[in-house]
Amino acid sequence: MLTLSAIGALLSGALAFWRRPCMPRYWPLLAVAIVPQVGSLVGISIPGMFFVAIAVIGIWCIYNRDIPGTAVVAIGIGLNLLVMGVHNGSMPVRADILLRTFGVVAAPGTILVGSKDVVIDTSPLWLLSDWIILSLGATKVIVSPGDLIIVAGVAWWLLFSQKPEKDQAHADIIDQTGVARTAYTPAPRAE
Amino acid sequence: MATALLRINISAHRYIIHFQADFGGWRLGIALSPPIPNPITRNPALNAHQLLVKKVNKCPRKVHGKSTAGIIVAAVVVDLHKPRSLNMKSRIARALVAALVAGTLIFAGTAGLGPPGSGIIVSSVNW
Repeated sequence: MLTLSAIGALLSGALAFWRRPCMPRYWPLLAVAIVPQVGSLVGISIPGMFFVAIAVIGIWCIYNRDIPGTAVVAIGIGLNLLVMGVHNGSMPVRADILLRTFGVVAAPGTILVGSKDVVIDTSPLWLLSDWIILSLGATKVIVSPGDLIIVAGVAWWLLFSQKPEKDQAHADIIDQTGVARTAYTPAPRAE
Repeated sequence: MATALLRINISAHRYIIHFQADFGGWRLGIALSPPIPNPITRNPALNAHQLLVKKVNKCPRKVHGKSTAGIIVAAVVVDLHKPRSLNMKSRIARALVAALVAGTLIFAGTAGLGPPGSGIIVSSVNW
């Protein structure tokens, strides 16, 4: 997921370099959301810490609700939040899917270190859990529907929230004043 | 880059048929208007002209051509003005912010599970 995130960040940066998306406000807030993930990489595990990360991103989405795409991200976050809330702040992954995808046997209740996931046998919300298997060449990842919706929301933000360039906005102002001047020019008086 | 953004608007406003194409900043606009005099200027040519100035050509000084013929007043604008590129510093800054935001959203927001043994996401203590 780290590699996928890096690829997504690179693509997003290239797209923003070419076109100017509406830049979200309070984006440093997202630094709070990334802390639990970084903590898990170094082996720190506190129950519910990923729940906090997801909740912070949800708050960030509310602050930026007027930007296209953030509503879609919020829906994805909400779906992940819902299923993680039911499972004590961890994202459930079914044991049979884990076995089928990676060939690893894990007992239900196992916390997967370095991830948000907990192994389950079954769950009423398993459709919102990690069950979609994506093959990226030789690598496989299991994602949830909420994950895919979040990625779609990010793409939506970058592609459909274009803000006019500065000189274009300036030209628009000139245009409006020019049209207003033309519109209110009095008609030449008939001789 | 010229074909990167193609935007075509066809609108009928005040009986004016208006066609606009935008090829990544290179603008082409054609407007046809019936000879209805402009209520203020009383000049039928200004119907199409004003619309082109408003819709197609963002800067009035860039209007290249305008003609009137017969019962239809037509105005054609071919605008070869290409928007200036932004300052490279601001482009890089916004690209960095966008990359940071998108990367963080994907990394922290999603809960995907990577392959075991990758050393990044999954290494179960109890497996």
